[in-house]
Amino acid sequence: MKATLPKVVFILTIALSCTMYSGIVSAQSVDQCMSADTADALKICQSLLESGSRNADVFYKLSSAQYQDGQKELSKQTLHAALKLHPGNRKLVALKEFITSNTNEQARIERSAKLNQKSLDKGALKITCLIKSGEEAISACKRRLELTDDDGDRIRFRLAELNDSQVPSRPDVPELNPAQTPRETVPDPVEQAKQETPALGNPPAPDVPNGSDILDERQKAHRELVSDIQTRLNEFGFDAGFADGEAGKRTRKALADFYTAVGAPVITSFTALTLDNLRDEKLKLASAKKLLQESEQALQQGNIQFATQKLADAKQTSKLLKVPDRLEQALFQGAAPTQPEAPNVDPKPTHSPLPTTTTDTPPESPPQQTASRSKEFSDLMEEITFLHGKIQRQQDNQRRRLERIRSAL
Amino acid sequence: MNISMRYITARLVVIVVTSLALVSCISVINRDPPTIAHIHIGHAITGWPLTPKKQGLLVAAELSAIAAATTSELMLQAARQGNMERARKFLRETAEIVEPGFLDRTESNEYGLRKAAAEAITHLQLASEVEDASANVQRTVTTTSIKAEDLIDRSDELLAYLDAGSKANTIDEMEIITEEIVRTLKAIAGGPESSDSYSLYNFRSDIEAMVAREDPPYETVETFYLFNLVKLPDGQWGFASRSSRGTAGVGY
Repeated sequence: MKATLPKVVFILTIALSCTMYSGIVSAQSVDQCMSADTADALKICQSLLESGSRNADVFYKLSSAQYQDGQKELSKQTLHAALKLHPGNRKLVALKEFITSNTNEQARIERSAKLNQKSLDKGALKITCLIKSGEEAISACKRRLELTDDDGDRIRFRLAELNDSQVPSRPDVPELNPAQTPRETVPDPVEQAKQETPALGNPPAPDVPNGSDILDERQKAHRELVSDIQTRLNEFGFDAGFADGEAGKRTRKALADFYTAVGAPVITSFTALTLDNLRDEKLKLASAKKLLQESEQALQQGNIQFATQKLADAKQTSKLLKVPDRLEQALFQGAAPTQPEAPNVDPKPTHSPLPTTTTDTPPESPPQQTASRSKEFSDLMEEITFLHGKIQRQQDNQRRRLERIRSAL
Repeated sequence: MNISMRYITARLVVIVVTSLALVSCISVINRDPPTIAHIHIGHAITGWPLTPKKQGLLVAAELSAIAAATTSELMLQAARQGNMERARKFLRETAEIVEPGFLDRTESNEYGLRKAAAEAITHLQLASEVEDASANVQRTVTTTSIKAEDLIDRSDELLAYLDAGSKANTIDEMEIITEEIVRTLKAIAGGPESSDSYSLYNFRSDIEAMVAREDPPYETVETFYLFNLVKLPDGQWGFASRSSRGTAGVGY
């Protein structure tokens, strides 16, 4: 008995030591797992779980590391296994919520990719306003203006045009009796004008107006508008063809060329705004011509700097201005023109008020080409004038030095 | 003598080269990671894992805007020539560049002009909201993102024009709509001479100015940081390991 007791004590001591040692090792491994970075945590925590650990923190750490490593599915599986063992663990439940739901950031990014219905509606209203007719277009224009004032001037012009076509405002146009012809049934004059229609020589208006009279008047009004635009385009030197009031391809092209030449966005629909743009440009051109005259006068008086300045102002005022070559050459040479010519501006503006102001340029030359050439020439001229001045200053200096030397001798 | 000199020289060269290589390696390893704010900014201007060629979101938006503007010019040309079929073809191409799948009403994960621009704004907003964002970033993003939202509104309006164009019945309608599309795309892309509305050009200028003002200075963010940024369960931002098997940064 005495002999076996020490043996039992020895065995128990060994067993206890082993248990304690394994406990210490295990605790150390858990600590290592919890404090490891992502890459190490994947290995240490995984091996701990494989060796039979059921520690919730180890599961949490491994799942987090897997998520962080981009292994989202594996992370979910680890969490699922952990929650089977620790169903009510708050930390694990919170992690599950985080992993399975979108993060705020992700949700925000996804939300930003969604289209904004309000903006889509605004766009649709604008297009309806511009291309449709009648009440539908009027309503679209109004709603668009309620939503935004972007491009508001254009929409207001279009609305005014649509209203004009709905209710003729000219004094000679008879009022429409709503009882006879409802407004909704009146076709759009723009569409009507595009169709083949009988000549405008209407019979005298009857005492009681009917729908066809109103249509004729509106059609006539639109034709007059287009015809006016065509005339003005032709005056500017953009070939819109015969001013017949038909909004054909040639007229549209001329209008597009006009907008390109003046550096404005190209719009080829025929509205009151188009006419306004043409009128504005005519006024600008008139001012530019006045400046050009002042430039010529200054040049004749020998004030080159003033003449150059006025010419630059004139060019800036209207891009359609045709600057005579002789003026630029004269400014370039730094002297008044030897032969006084007739003023650049046409003395009869009612007949031909536009770029056909010089006799040396064919009227059919495209204004935009001439404008770009003029600009290039003007830039060159400015540079040469500067160099010319520099040379003159140097010559003066040399002359003064020479005189000083002579007087010293 | 000569042989021993050569031997010594060769050894010296090896030692110098090795030490230089070691120093450079250490400096690379020791380099501080960029701030989280700078990484989010990098997503806008340098790289994002889901865009074509993994370009920055703003870069993707700018390239799309240029491509769409060019295609829309062709569409306008076709409409003016009265070629409805050709105009429709270019309209579809423009729509695909602006918002893939929009006309077909299909969901698409591809990045078009609209999506790339919208996400660029969101990433800048994230940059301004993280803890390490400088006052400069916070201030600039607050004002810039409001202006940039206008870009997104106009992109949505543009989509409405494209939709209307796809349903146009006559060449005249098509021409008017096409003009609107061209005008809007030019306004969105912008440039040094256009000052009518806030454009992608203005957006980039604002971001570049903000980045230039950063202190400590902003440095181009390495791809690793750009593509491996993750939001951790504790709410902090971290990085997936270099041996990451997935693209952890995708959608955070």
